[in-house]
Order: sequence, then C-alpha cells, then structure tokens
Amino acid sequence: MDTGCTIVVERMLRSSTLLRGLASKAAGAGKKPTVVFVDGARIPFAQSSTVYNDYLGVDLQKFAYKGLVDKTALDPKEIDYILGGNVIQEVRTSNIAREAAMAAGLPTNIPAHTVVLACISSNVGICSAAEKVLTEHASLVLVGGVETFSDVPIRLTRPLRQALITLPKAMKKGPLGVFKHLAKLNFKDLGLETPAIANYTTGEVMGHSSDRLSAKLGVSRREQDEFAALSHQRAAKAHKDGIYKDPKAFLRAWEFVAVDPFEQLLLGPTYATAKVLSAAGLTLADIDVIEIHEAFAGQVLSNFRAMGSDKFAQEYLNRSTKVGDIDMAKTNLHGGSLSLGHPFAATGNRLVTTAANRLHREGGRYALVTACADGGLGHACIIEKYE
Amino acid sequence: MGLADVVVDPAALETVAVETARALAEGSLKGKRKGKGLLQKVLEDTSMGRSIVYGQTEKMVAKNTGGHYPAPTAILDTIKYGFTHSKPQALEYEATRFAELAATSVSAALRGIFTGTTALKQSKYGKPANPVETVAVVGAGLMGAGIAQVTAEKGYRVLLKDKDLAGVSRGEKYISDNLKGKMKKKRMTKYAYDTTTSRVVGLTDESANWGKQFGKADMVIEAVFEDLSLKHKVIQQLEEHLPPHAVFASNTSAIPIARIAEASRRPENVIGMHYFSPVPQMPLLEIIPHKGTSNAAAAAAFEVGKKQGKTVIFVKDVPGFYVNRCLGPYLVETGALMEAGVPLEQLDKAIKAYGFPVGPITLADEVGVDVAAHVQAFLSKADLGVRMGGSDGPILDALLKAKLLGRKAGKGFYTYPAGGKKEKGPKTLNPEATSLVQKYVKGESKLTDEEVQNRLVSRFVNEAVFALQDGVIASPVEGDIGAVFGIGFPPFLGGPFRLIDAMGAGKYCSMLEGFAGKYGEQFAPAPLLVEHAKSGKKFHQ
Repeated sequence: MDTGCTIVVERMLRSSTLLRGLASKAAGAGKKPTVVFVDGARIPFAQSSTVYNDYLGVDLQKFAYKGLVDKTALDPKEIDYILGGNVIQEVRTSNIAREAAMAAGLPTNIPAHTVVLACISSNVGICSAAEKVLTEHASLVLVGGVETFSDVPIRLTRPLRQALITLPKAMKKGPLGVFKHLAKLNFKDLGLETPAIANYTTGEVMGHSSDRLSAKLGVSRREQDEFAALSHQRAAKAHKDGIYKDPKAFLRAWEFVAVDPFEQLLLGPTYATAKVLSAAGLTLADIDVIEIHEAFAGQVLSNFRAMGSDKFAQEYLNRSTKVGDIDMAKTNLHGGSLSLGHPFAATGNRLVTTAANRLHREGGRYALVTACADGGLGHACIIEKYE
Repeated sequence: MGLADVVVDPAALETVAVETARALAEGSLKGKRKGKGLLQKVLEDTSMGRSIVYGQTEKMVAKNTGGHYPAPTAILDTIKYGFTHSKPQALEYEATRFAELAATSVSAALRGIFTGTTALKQSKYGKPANPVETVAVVGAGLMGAGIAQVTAEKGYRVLLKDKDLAGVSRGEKYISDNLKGKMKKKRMTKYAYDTTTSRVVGLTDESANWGKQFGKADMVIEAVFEDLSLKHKVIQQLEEHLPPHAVFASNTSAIPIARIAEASRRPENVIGMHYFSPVPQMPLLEIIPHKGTSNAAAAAAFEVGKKQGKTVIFVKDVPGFYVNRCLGPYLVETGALMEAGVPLEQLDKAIKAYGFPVGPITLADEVGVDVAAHVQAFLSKADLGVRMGGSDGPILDALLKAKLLGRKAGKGFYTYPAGGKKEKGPKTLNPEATSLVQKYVKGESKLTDEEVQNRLVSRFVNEAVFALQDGVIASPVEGDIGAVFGIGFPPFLGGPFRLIDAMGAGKYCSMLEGFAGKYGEQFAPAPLLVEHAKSGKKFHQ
C-alpha cells in the first residue's frame, strides 16, 4: 500500500449548554441537547518508516490529544470522556485511547475507550461521542484517531503459535515430550505472518474490489488518473495557501450502512449519503461542501456514477430518482486521502474538521462527509455551520 | 550480590517482614547465604586478593578526592584493620578514627554545608498568597529550556514561549533529549517522560490562544536576550494577558532588576531569579528582590525555586548579584597573573589542586570567553571601584576579537576537537591563544602554586566579605552556600567564611594586607574583615 502512516487527529464535541438552558426553560423536559463540533487538530501525515519511525501509535495519538488541548487552551478537567480510533492494533495498547490520554497528561479520572470500524473508525468515534452528548452522559468529549505502519504486528504462523502456547504442558513430560511436541511442526510452519491486505470474509484485496467496481460502473483508467492528479494538485495548492481557529459546526445527522462485501464492497458512501440526506430532509443540491474519503480514484468515481444514476437509485436505494450529481467544485477542494495520506483511523476526523473549516472559509451552510470502509461499510454525516 | 533475599511490593513490606521474622525465629525458615564465586573468594578471602582491592580503591579515592577528604582513606584503614583484628578491637578502632574525623575542619565544613542548605529551605516570606500551578518561561534558549525542564519535571504546567517555532522546537528538543537520556539510564519511566513532556506547552506569538494560555500563568520566568528594551517589550506584551497576581521573574545576570521593573504596571510583582548553567545540573538559585518587590512575590519565587530542587539564596539587587560579583575580582586577578607571566597551565593546575572543579582558564573556556569578558566589563563599570583593579582585561578582549570563544567555538584558550567525546588526558593549549597572551606578558613569573592560589582565591573571598558587609547577602551561610553551589568553591573548605574562620581572620587580613602592599589597593581587606581580625570573632558561631 502506498498510503503513509502517521496519525492523529482529534476532534471535540460538546453540547451547547447555553442552548440547552434556553430550551429547557421554554419547552420543559424532553428537549434534547444540541451537539456541536468545536475544533480539530492533527499532526502532519507522513510516509511510513520516515519521520515517525521511532514512535508507536500511542505516542502519535498522545501528540494529537495534547496538541488539540493546547491549541484550544481547554482546561482538560472539563473533558467528560475520551474516545480514540485505531485499526492496525499494537497488542500492548489495545485501549490506545486510554494509554495516549494518560501519556498526554490528561486527568486519569476521565474514562476512555477505543473504537474500530476500519477506515471510518474516527467517524464512529465522533458519532458515539454525539450519542453520549444526546443521552446526557457527557457534555464534552475528546475524539482521536491514529494509525501507523512504521510498526505492524508481525506474527509467527498459527501452527507455531499453537505449539508455543501448549509448550508448557509438553515440558512437563520432559525433554522427550518437548521434542515430540515440536516435531509436529513442519518446515513451512516456521515462518512469519504479516498483516493481510485482503478482506477477511471475501478474501479479496480492496484494490481489486475497486477495479471491479470501476469496470462495472464504466469508470475508465484515464478518469481515475485525472481524479488522482486533481487531488494532488488541490492538496499542493492548499499547502501553499496555508489553509491547514467558538465551536465550528453542528452535527445534524449521521448514518452507518453495511452492504454486500462481495459485489458492492466500496459503494457504502452512496447508500449512506442517500440515507442521511433523507434523514436530514435535504437534497444534494442543498449541500455546499462535500468531503468524501478517497480510498481509490476508481472507488470515488464509481460512487459518483451510482449517485448520479436514476436506475441505480430505483434498483438499490429505494428511490424514484438519483441521489444527485456531484459537483467537483464543492468536493475535496483541498485534496483528499489520495494526496494527503490515509492513516485509517485518523481520516474521519480529518474529513469532519476540514468540512467544518471549509464551511467557515467559503460561507456555506451544510456540509456532507462520507466514507467507505473495508467489510462493505459506509458512513455519511451532515454538519451545519455554527454561527 | 545476595544482599536482598525477597523483593516485595511496598504495600506488602511490613506484613511480609513480620511474617519472615516470625518464621526465622520459629526456625521454619532458614536464611540462605549466596555462595561466593571463585573470583570473589580470591579477592576477599586471600590477603593477596585483598591487597589488589585495596590498591585499586586507594587509586580511585586519590583521583576523586584530590587528597582533600580524609574520610575515604580512614574507611579503608578501618576495613583493613577489621580483617586482621577481633571484632571488639575493630569497633574500638572505628570509633577512634570516627572521632578524629569528626574533629577535622573538613567535617565542620561539610556539616556546615548540610546545616546551611537545610536552613535555606525556610524563608522569611512564608507561604505565597496564590498557589503557583502554571509557570511561563519566555525564551527557549539554553537557559530557558533548562528552566522549563526542571519546572515541568517537578509537576508544574509550563508555557514555553519563543519568538518563532524553530526556537520553541529547539527548546522542546533540549528537554526531550535530556529526559530521554534519563529514561535510558532507567532514572525515569516512559510514563514520567510522557507526562512531563506533555506538561510543556510550546507557544509563539502566532499560536492560537497564546494570550488565553498566559491568562492562566501564575508566574513568568523571562530568559530572553540580555537587552533591557527587549525585556521591557516582553513585560508590556505579556501584561496584556497575565492575571494581576502573576509574578514576573527575570533570569538576567547583568541588568538591575529595578530597571527591568520600570516597564511593569505592577513593579511589586517583579523579581530576579538567576539560575546557573546548565540549569538541570547546577543547584544554586539567586533570588533578587528589588526595593519595591512585594513579600508575596518573593514568597512565590522562593516556593517555585525550592520545588524546582534548587538551593535558594536571597541577594540584594546589585551588579553581579552575589556569585558573579565575587567572580569579577577573581577574573581580573587571573588576567593580572597571566600578564605577570604565570603559565596558563599553572593557573589551571594550581586552582584545581586547591579544590575547585576547574581552573580559571578552563572556566573562561567553559562559560565562554565572550561571557567572561562581558562580566568583567560590566562589573568594571559598576560599583566595585578599586576592587576591579589589577588588570584591564586586554587578554580576554584579544581572544574575543580573534573569535576564540572557548568550548562552544571549538577553540579558546584550549582546543576542543570536534566529535565531542570526553577527551582522555590533558587538554591541549591553543597556540593561537598562547601567542596572543604573550603580547601582554610583562615579565617572567616565579610564583609558587600556593601564591597563585592565595592571590586568586583571596580576591573572591574578600569580595564575599564586602558582600556580607554591604548587605548583598544576609549572612555567612548564604555566602558559603552560594560560593560552593554557584562556582564549586571547595566543599571541604566549606566556603569563603568558613575558610576565614578556619585560618583566622587576623591571619587572612595580614595576608591580604601583604598582597596590597606588593600589588595594589585591589587587595585591601574589607572593613568587616578588619573588624573580625581585631575582635577575633568568627563568622560562624
């Protein structure tokens, strides 16, 4: 994979306690809190085994948690809960959110847990945080997301692992017992197992899924290359222009979907977008800013095809008309995962922060964030500019 | 080694100890002594082996003590005696040697340092009115970063501000490199490293919300360039955001605190906190209230200095404060001796043999020839009058002009080869420097090491007496502790005032008067010293 490692991004959500106060005075009990996105921060994404080579994911997440708290001059004691996303796990830090939060010097009496949903792990983090706010379990939540390929779990083969795990029992039978135990292994068992890039259930490598989807939906290689080139150009310009400061947005609606991983693996964004627009009572034309996760150029363009097709909408989305045509002038204006890098669990946070910042910079009202994830999952959310 | 039989969690210590004692008493548990290995048997149980150990130990003791500390040798003698005599005899011998040591001036000096540092843990200012939780350090250079490090290590939140990100990053890197070194030596856990570095918040003028962060600062320690107008700008900029109770402390070494306070809206909150480099290693802190500093500000500064692990002396707001002020005449005398033809190596050797960690030539190279020249220049223009006499300091100026700044430039009086590992063997003199020195040498010197030592040290000691006389320091305790912890005045001598007490003020006075007669008024003993000589009163009771 050519996506870089490094990680970190975070976001905070907080109920607007002022609004809550007014609402309960006016409408009495039963009025829900409003969820707002306050701000986000990330450390630079970089290629694996370069500048972050000596760090574990927990160190990178620590930098991001600390960076956001410092940037906003927030008093850490006000945080009620901490979440974090991480896909390729370091075994020692299975609750990476907790370890990173403590290392960042955040009060140890703030509970923290880690969420995983492949590439939309931090979106799950954001939405779980929103749900905590809505159910009044928290007022202020810190959400992180981190990934690194500079250090990945490289394991012994399963037969060898099993032999070692049951070795203590064999040792009780003396040296002969040990010898007989280990003799059960054959030569090819003495190897290593590296993390697979193929989907566990379907056995298919995601790049292949994307190419198949593109072939089915008529996306040409040339179109894919042009899309990728555009992503890089926009990212370069954004860096040059210095793009990358009250809360920034309201979290209005969010949806998670799952689709057939064999035949529609990367079409999640289309399904999720249709669902979230319907839930929010909006159409694609009402959306001013779009941030879509660029897993593959072919995958993104395939989703655009599906969203722009009346036939697809009727056959698969239970709609009479297409979801809508995506306007590239509104979409991924400052580059995307292809050009900026895709540390799995960090991308969701980047998409939402960028969408919120773009609303303020461009003067729009609604933004759509959508992403696919391995396993045939998809996510979309709609945020509204905070004024 | 077999010293410990069982290791338990601290929470279980008492219970396990009681159980173990009971089991030993009942006989259900027998202590097992680890058997000696062959090498150990040879070294400890044969007289030949023991003499090897003694020989090595004696060599090491001689190297580390320079012959100035009698205790290690006495310990070794006692051990030797114990192997060849009965236990009662050995205990008697030990008691006798102990009593002898306790009566030595070295013992008095070292005990004095202990009681002195203990006494200095209290201040007359009491508890600060506002607890200090967040300390801002402005200027992330060597001093600022060092101050930020010790502050963060002791649990304070630190705002580290510099003029740009590059400066802040250098400061943060200095801290993290030092702490990583501690982790490597297992003197710091990763958790402590993570939480300590996380307590440091790097800021510049461009940082979002830096003003809001400073709104929560209880103290600022300023360590920017030694320029009065810059320090004034810093005060004025920060006071836009600081809470009213915030103390503004300056790490200046050459600017009067009262002048710095002139730019402040709340001059009663301004105070000097003068650290020594490198801050994480040097234990002394001079706290300098100006005439208008409030007791609350002094109390807060003392509290922070103490918590940072420093030994604090309060000093009057005079040029050079205390330590550098006493060093002024010492530096001048170094120049005078060089001009008199004393070889550079003799100056260094003599002072090191006297008990200082380094001689004056090495000291100049280590602090920087530019720094030494600057200290000498500014003290010469200050209020020490004839006490800065004896040399105009042309040699330091000449080296400064030739950019021979010392270790930091790779060459000064000595050369420092690149690739910095500790040199083995004596340093080599820089021929560039020696030829420059030669230009100012007025004759050939026939001074003994003892004369060189006395001339140099007495100028420091005399200035220390003036400092006590003029109220720069409050008591001889501050004077001794400040000298020992500030520039490594020999601990076995206890400091300038204990030195005078041991020698006798009368004798010391006569020595100075003799030098004054031969070399000039700069040696004239301080009136307070003359008083003590006449009355026979000691500085330390």
